[in-house]
Amino acid sequence: MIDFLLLLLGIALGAFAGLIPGIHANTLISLLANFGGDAGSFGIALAALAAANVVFAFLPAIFFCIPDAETIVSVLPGQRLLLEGKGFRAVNICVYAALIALILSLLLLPLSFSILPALYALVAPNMLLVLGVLSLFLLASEREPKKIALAALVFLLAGVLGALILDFPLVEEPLFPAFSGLFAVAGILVALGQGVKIPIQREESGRIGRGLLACVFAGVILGMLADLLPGISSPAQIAVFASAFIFLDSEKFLALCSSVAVSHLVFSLGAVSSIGKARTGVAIALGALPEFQQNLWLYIGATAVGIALSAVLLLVFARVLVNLLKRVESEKINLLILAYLLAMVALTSGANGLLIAATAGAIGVLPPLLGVRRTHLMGAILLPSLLSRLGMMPAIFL
Amino acid sequence: MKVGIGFELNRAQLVLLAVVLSLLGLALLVYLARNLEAESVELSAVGEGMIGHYVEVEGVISSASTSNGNVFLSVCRGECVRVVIFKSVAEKMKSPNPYLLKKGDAIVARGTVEEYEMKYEIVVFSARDVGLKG
Repeated sequence: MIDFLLLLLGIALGAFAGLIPGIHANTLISLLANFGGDAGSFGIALAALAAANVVFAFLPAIFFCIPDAETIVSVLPGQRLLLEGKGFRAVNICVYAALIALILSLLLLPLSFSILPALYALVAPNMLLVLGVLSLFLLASEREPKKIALAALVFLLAGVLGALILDFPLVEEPLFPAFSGLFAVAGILVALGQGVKIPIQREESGRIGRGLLACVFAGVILGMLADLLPGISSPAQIAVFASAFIFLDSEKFLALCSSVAVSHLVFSLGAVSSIGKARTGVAIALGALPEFQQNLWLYIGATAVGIALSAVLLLVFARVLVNLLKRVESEKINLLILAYLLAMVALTSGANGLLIAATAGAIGVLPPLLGVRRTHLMGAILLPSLLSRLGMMPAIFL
Repeated sequence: MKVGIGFELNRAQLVLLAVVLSLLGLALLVYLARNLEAESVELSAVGEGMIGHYVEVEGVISSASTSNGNVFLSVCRGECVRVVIFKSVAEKMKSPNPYLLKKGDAIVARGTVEEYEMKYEIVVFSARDVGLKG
């Protein structure tokens, strides 16, 4: 009974962290430790917290353009659907993809225990090449030379920002002010300047086609491979990597992002067990618990229940949010979010955080002004990985 | 596009403004990065709560090794913590020469606390951040 209550508590905390930008799931993990119980019970709550956090983070990403590390690239297609009045459908796609991805991940998990170690040995020595090719593909996707040059400028500026905040301890959680600035602050500034209004959202969810199922399957495979790639380990980076090779419309991209995030969480637990690599906060925390190997399937079960329950709850929250949005003017919502974000950045990261958010905001407005894709802002993560692998970080700035 | 109150900028002016503000922000961040103040802590305090902090520690080297130009030191004072000097930083260091550091040397090191493979370590990011004691 206590385990079930801890699971629900984990989901509640994960939902809170996912819905409220600026609250990091890792900061809530210590709260759970105060509820006592043995390592197994704590692990169940931890797994549920991470599961709920991954699922609920899609709501602020889609409706308010506020991403975290997991949902960063879902902001762009999410916003496009929102501006078409399809915000509820966007959430529906994420829920659908998350649930299917969960089932597929659980089915493939036993297989991953044997193939991950072999793949890791193959991929790890070639990461510099993979990152370089990915970056070139991203820029070349603009096709016209002038646009490629403009995209390179955006990529470079975002990359320098990323290198500075990731390699120097300017603030404790650098991604929150940086991502908020690059995407949310910039998006709000452009929306306010152009007088963009969020239309009334249609409540129908629409049909989920077979094309989306293929994207979910691809997302599951990519999520499984995520922990093999030290330089592009976050689901967001994996999704960008995929988008450089395959054309995906907004809905397919969302399905891919959602399934990568969910499968990455599930497989990250398997990766701790099989290759000893942990790249998610929860995998690190669970891997450090006593008797992790014995309790592995218990934690995977808690993750699965957490994702399933959260996915259903997310639909309820989305409906409430859609109804709320109908009553408030877009401009007021945007100003409110801007004020909230800046207050949270100031609170969590101080003056340095505000400087990072402001700089990121200035860089983030460039893609729409220059007529290039905002995906080039992913240079904030790709360039530091490249420089680091070339042995140029952080010496290049000193 | 309207900006602020009472004036308008065209697209080219907005691009210029955004680029200038971006460069200004990046220049300020470089300045801050180069002038970070380290927080002096005991090796026993290096743990979960210190991840991301820029710290200064003192201790005696219990083992030193190099791999692909990177230097790995186990520094002890009661507790032991791994201090990592990556090649790009190590090659810029003149005194002390990080490749000549050995067991028994007393050092002071500054760097960021990071977690790698479930262990905490201090990653040195400036050539000025390692010195010999005494």
